[in-house]
Amino acid sequence: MSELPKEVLDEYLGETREMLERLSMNLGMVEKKIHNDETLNSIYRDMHSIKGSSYLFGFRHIGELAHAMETALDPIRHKLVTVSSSMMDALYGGLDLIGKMTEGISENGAEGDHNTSGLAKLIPLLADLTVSSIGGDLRASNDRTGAQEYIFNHDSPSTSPSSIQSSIQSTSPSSIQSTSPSTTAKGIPSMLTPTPASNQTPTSHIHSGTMGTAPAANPAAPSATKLASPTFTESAPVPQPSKTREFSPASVQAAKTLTGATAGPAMTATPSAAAPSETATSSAGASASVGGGGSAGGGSAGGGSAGGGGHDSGGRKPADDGLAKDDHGGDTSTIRIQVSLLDNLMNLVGELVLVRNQVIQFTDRNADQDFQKLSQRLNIVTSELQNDVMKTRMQPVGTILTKFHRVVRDMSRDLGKKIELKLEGVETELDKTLVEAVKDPLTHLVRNSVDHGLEKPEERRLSGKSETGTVVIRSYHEGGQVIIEIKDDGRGLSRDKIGKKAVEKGLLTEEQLARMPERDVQALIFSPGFSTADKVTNISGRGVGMDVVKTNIERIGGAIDLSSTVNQGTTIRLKIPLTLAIIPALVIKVEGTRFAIAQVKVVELVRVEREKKGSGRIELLQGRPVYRLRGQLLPLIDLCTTLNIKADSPDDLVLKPINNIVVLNSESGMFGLIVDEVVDNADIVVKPLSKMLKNLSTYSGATIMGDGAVVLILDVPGLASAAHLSSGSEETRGATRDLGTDKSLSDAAEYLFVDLGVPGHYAIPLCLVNRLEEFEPKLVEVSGAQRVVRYRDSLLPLIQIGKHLDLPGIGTDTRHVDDRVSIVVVSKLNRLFGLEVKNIVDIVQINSTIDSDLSDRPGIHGSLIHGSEVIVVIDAHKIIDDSVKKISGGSALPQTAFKLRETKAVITTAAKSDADARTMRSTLKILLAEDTAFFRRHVKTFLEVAGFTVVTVVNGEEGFKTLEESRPNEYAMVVTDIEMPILDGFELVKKIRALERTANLPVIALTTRVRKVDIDRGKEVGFNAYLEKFNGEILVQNMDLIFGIVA
Amino acid sequence: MEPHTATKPSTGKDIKGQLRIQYSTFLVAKRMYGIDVTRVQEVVRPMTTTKIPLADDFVHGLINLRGQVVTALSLHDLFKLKEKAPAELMNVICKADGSLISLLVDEIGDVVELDSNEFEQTPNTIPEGVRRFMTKVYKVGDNLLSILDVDKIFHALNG
Repeated sequence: MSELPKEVLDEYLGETREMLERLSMNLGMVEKKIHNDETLNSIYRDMHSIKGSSYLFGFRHIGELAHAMETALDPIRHKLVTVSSSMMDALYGGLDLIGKMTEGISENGAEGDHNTSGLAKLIPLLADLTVSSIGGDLRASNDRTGAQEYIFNHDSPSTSPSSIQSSIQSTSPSSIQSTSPSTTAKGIPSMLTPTPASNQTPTSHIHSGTMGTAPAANPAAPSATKLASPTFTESAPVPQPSKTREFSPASVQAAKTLTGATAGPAMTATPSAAAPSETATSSAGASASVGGGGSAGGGSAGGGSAGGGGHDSGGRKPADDGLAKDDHGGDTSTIRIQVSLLDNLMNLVGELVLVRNQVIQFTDRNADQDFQKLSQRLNIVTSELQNDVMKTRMQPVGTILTKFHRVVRDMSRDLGKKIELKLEGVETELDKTLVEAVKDPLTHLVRNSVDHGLEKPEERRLSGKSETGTVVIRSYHEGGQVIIEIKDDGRGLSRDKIGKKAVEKGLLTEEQLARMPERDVQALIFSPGFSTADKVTNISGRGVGMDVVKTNIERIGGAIDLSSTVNQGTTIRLKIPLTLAIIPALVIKVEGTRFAIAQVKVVELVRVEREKKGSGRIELLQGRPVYRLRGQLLPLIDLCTTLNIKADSPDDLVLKPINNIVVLNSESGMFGLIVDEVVDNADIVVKPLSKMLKNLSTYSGATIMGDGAVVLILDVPGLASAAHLSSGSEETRGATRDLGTDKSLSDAAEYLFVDLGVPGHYAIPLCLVNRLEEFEPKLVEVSGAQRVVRYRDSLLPLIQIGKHLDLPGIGTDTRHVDDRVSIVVVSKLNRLFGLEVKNIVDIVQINSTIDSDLSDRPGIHGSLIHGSEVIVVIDAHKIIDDSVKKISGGSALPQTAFKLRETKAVITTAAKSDADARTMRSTLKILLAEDTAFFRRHVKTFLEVAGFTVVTVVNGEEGFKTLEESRPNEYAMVVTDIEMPILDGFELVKKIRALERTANLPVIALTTRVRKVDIDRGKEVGFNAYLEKFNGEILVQNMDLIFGIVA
Repeated sequence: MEPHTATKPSTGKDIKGQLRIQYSTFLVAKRMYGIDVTRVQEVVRPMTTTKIPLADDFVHGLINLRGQVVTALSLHDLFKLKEKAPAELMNVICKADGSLISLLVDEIGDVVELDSNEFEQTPNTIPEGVRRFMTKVYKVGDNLLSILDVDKIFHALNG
């Protein structure tokens, strides 16, 4: 059927999908026994419509399956049997399979062969279930009639068990006569059999009577069915049998309606049903007025709803079932529209609103009475238009919520739990895109509630609850937002369990946990990678956690909120904006340029007046502006500076008489944005930025203001990272461009304060620290003499700093705090080493120089002053070196003093003594390029102690500039880090080699990047030596070699 | 803001059966450039532009084209030309990859119809800044017309 026009196929697929959804929902109702006759009829009709249209479009597999399902449903519909749970499974399975096949069609135009195996299983299963459900009576009736006309004509013979077909065969010979020739000849499965069960009802004689009239109705059939689809008439065999079949439910309906009526009236009703059925689909009411039979006929011809009206007080009431009415072409009050067309309409209305605004502004200046009246009318009409166009995109949340009946049902069966799902407020409307966007997060939450939240029946009984757990999904409007609540009456969140997990995962310490309010502990489940599920089931805990749910909800401008009481249940509230396209925003101004910020990110506005008492003031912390907001330090970002509009120095901010601060909430914490002016609140329409601007993380889009101007929307997380607010991980440090040039920040080095279990303060330069970890003591194993712990698929050697340094007082207090081993992970030569400390205390910025003279033993850099205290700085690399040497019996870690390039030595005769060497070094000026404050200072000090003259720069570019501006041969050597902002070490050396006067200048790399590829690259770009950071002696040795100070 | 929408088909065959292509031409720093007319949606008079802080130099800003936000690119900056751009620039709105971009030019020229066979290759001596967006050169009377490829501009910028 490849020649089918795409639109026709799309319509078929769309309808089928809708019907599948409705079927799923209705089956759920049947299963819960909250259905009525109309539910059953609707199921039956939908199944039938799917069958009909699938055959029509040539999708035989779907048709066959639908047929088998329809057959199975028939006895149920006639209330001859109740639905067994195995039947329910089979029906659901059938729906899934049809869904899969329609997906296959929409993807590649075919039902997909891989689905046929499922089909081959399911169809006989359905048949068997049908037979067993209605018992042996049918077999008897089968014997009685002996009719065997049912032919299942398709590829897999196994799917046509004759028992079922025969058992449900129609008892009306005439109808078989009229239809069977064409069906069998054309190879289309017969559709004439769906009312077998009626044989067992008292009305069976009426039924067969009407069936008998079917041939008479046939002439009308093509024209009637034409309404269902334009192509219907082309496939003549289909309408015929379907028509016949249609009539049987119709007549049964009629028979039921006219209880006690004889065959006579029913028979007269039928021809009249055939006649109006030509127009029945477009006017179900008309057919309904004819009587039960007529209405059923109308309903069946279009697959519509008229059947429902039929049995209501003799069919006088027109069919008005909302569900059935909505979805078929038969009802002229609805029409299908492309979403893109609606989007376009929205856009234009938005533009019209802007024009309206401009007109109104103009009116204000214009006194003309008529003009004012006109513009007033324009105003009203535009507003109404805007409102209605907005509504076109709205969809009830019910479209996704009803799916959960199925989800919950399947899960409760898998988990052996008894669960009831209640839906409230399914009619609450939400923008279509949002409905789609909340679908996955909601599914996750519902799964979570069912899997983790609700207990098994026995557990519930023990805790005095009813065995059946309840999940309630409520949705309603509140304050311009849609709230979706998922509430279960399960075990609730256990503080202990969450807390334990959080501590285990290293998210917080025991003490922090103890201080934490209940609510914050519960909120921990939204932390990345957090899952309290004891075991990973196939239902939840598949790597996607609540953090993903949270991110997804926040991405659409929503919020998630959780409250839980142990043993009473958990409630999760999702706050979703009504529409994605329009968000409330705060408009601010800097340097005459307006920007918009999404209101959801704004916490509060603070106005700081310098002169005014009590309004506080902006202070500088390490050169960075901060503000004390109710006693809490709030980091500040100056929008002007961050966006590079105008560079305000932090001092200017402090001196400014008035500062407006917008307090914003971002993932990495709250911060304040300094702006010139807060302009207004406005509902803005978010427009995406063109792809080429996507790399600008500071904006999330643009909008058009009332005056027609384009205004950029600021992205709060993007701003935070642009201003380096996010915690200083390696990546962000590499990505932040101007960090190195920012003197105020770079002058302070960060130190990790550790407790070694001895008196005194010890610190490790933070730039050396890879990670901080905690392990349970029992995880520490011993390999030879080396303490190790399993860490990231390999063994992490542990070095006890205190013991290694042989500090006074060590060993007197060996207990670990909280029975945890605290480890500072340091990387050296691409290997990780763990330095054991008693406790990790804090990270502190210190702006003073290490005094190496106070280093009394190897492994100590020296001391520095912090406030009133003296801090001993540990040389972690030295400790690792020595420790490895000790363990391996003398051989140290492989050295990285790679001599890569020969340079003519500047000193011709080697030094004879240390003093001699020192004097020689003093004539040599070294340029040191290093972005990390600690190393810059430390290496400089070390080289100066050795005798060299050292000039430091913070990045490669500054380094090269210094060289360019220097006198010839002013610098004897460049020592450079590799990873630096703006211009890294590799690029620096390239530039040096490219410049004629520095082409032969010795350059040494001093870096933590010592993989083979890095060293090879270093050689390639022209380094003289490539050294690991940082062993002072080796550096000086290499320098001496290059200079010729040692031979 | 009257759009000069191209209605004529851009290609046609003359008597000899040769393919004729229509180019919409414009001037940037007194040099003539052309773009396949089918790629040009419309030409718009100078518009208020919203600057984008932190964006590349050639990203001139954002304009409001009847409710659609369009990124305007300065060809002066994109081609790294030394000449200063005039204060008022015309917008040539082009369709690229499903979205719109505006190329800012000094002056709008005619739509010219040219023989598809009579072009010359872009000489290698042309500075790379411009050459990477050029496909070919036509000799039009006394002038030389450099043909630009909108897709090349668009893709070069999207990286």
